[in-house]
Amino acid sequence: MPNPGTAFSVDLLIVTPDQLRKITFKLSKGFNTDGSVNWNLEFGLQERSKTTDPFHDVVQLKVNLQPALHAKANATAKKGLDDTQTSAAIAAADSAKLFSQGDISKASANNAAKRVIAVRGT
Amino acid sequence: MLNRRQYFFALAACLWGIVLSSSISSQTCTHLNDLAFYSKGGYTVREVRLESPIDFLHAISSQLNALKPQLSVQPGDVFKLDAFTDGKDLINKALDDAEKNQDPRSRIRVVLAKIANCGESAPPFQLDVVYRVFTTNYNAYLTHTWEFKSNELERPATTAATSQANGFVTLQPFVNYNHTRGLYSGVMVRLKLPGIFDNVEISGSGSTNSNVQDFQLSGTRTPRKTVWQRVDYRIAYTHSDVPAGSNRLREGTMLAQAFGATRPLGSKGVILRSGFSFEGGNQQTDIVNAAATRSLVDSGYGGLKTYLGATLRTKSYSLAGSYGLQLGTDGTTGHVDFIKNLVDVGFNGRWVPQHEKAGDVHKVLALETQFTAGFINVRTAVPVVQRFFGGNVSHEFIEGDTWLIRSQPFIRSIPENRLSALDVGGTKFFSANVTVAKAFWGRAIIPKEIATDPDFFPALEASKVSARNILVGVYLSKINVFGDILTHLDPVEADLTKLRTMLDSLPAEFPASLPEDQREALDDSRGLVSDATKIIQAMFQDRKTLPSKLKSLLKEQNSATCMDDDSCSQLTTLRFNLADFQTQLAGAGFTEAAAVGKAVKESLDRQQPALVRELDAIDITEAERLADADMKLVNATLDSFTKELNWFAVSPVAAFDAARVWPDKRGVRYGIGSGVRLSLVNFNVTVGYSFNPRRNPGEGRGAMFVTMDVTDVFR
Repeated sequence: MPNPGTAFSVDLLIVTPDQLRKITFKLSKGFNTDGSVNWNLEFGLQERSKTTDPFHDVVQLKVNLQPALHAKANATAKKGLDDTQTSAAIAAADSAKLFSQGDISKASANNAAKRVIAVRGT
Repeated sequence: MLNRRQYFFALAACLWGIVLSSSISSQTCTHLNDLAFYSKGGYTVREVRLESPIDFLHAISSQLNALKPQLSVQPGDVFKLDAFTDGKDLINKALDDAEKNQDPRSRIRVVLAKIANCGESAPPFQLDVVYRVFTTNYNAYLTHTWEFKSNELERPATTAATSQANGFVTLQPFVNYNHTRGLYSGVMVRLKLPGIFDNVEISGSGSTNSNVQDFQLSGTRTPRKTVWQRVDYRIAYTHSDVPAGSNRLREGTMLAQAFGATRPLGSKGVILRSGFSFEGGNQQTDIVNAAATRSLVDSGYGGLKTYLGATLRTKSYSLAGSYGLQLGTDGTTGHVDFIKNLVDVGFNGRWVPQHEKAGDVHKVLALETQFTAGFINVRTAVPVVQRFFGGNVSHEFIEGDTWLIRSQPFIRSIPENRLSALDVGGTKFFSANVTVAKAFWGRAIIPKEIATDPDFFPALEASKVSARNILVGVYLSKINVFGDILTHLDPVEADLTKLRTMLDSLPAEFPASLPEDQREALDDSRGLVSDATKIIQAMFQDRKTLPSKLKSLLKEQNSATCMDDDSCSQLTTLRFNLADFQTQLAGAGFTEAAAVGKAVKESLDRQQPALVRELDAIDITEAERLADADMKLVNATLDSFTKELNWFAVSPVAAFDAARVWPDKRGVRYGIGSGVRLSLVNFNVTVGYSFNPRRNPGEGRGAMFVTMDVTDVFR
């Protein structure tokens, strides 16, 4: 029987065969205090130039896949980020950094994050 | 010292430990569809359990016990959903920290949080919180190749008493068994090194009738922009003293080796492998009649070994083939005294039933076949240890290489080194081996609670799409096709500089003489324009990653309506906000600033359509190809984990072998056997008995076989 009362995370780590890139991929399901469900995807890419070097971050993204106040959020949760959303997500990381440095307002950073859903094509 | 019976008992205990670890709660929770029911303050936590299917291993259980006090939910606490969920995240973080020094090649980890044993009928209302941790990182066995280092196979973590990896030092005791050596044990110490060599490794093992010692310096390099994906090199010394029937084989060998593997080639992704090994040393035996066979009882030895191999891997099968050539001398001259030729072909297939009940054990049918043949051309004489003996232990052509080529006939019904009728062994052989196993009982690696969650697989598929598109975005920054458009963005950057200068020239507070609502509108617009400018300028500052952000910077689906649903590109957002702001500035008497704003806006209006057309014309198929190549690995691994791998599984095994050594009048020898395979994730231990249907005087009815191997999950 399906068990919706379970929170979980599935966390995959893979080093590519040349041992120069490490991909982390984590899908997790949790609960908000009101009992609603939230889904998150964390995706990371690390690189190094030699197999004996430590890895360094190339990209670390966390995407909330929480369904669905409108159709685009639902479509994102069900089908994943499309290419336009991906570009928006990478750019939103810049905005988040600017906000953390006090360079832009929280509203502007939030708008950049909202765009990740809003720019979905279909 | 354990005897064989105790050895089996230990295996059985492991299996029993797995079974016991799956606890069953005694009271039912009736509101699992509505967890908020339990988090409204009426329920307290009776017990917090942290479980793992492999927590009977001390290293795992101690790690989990250390985590317990740090969890955000504790016995006696009022049950809260956020603390319940946070516990899962804390466990993940702690395991991430513990893993930092291990540098695993891969692993999958599942952390499950659930409630159980709810006392709902009468106060006090209580429940248990259960966290279950499934991790494949009990050791780094999930490697990327069809073949595996023989030393790792011989020293699996599951037979090790303890395994400690502390940064640059690894200490690994091990225990193993074969019929010829009996039960043997030893220890391996590996130390990471800076410089040319990455590791130094020393190991030794012994039993009542044998001893083996190894020392090696090894390194790996990954040449870029060549067909070679990886090159390994190694200098080693190995000494062994092992029985061979009534005889003993003693040898000491110094090795200098290099091996390489290409990147996947062609549409099928064939990997070619090649390597060589220069060897020199000595060998001694107790044989008295070796001269008649032109064999050297006690001699020096030198030679060159080289090989060429190929691997083809698909979703359901792996095919590998190798040819090995050895030119050997007795060590005193450069004259070639013997030439050894080996051919080794393997086919492994794994098939998963199409329709399986979600969460049940994957009843994988595994077929493993291998054919090996060898021939020694004796030109003057050959050291006895270089001849073919055969038996139920696999010997590799080049010890220490990741590419395994059998160098001796393998037959499970006859003990190690006893296939040949002659004490001096043979000069020609073949062996064929077939093993079939089908899992019938166990537990899937993705727990039933997850596999039956209707949202899990759609979310997983969506995540794969997201990951692929993120990788495309990353590779956009690495392919060299954006040079022109980046140059054409220079005028935009200049416009932003002018805009920044204009914004900086405005007073911190707009004049009090203006109406308050006008000042507020000016402040709001200035904030929007300023933030949009900073965001775009931040993009320009990092030109290296700018290609992956160009879509977000330049494109929207519909610029007429995008401000209504927040879907405008950053440049369009800036233009819209700037249009409002320059109008407001003009109305407030800031005519010069308004003129700058208007000029910048009009400049951006002109440039953006041309930039969008240029962006649309850029061919990004190379970035997509690179992303797809990476995702092939991710998808294959996820497919294996979700559709094929079990935490543990028990499979009946059927084994058939045929082998022959020449000269030997007894002809082809057979082995027909059966056994049982215990699989922990992708690590398999097969124990069985193979009968010898054509027994000769002095031979037993057969032999027990114990094999350990690893299933490649990266097809």
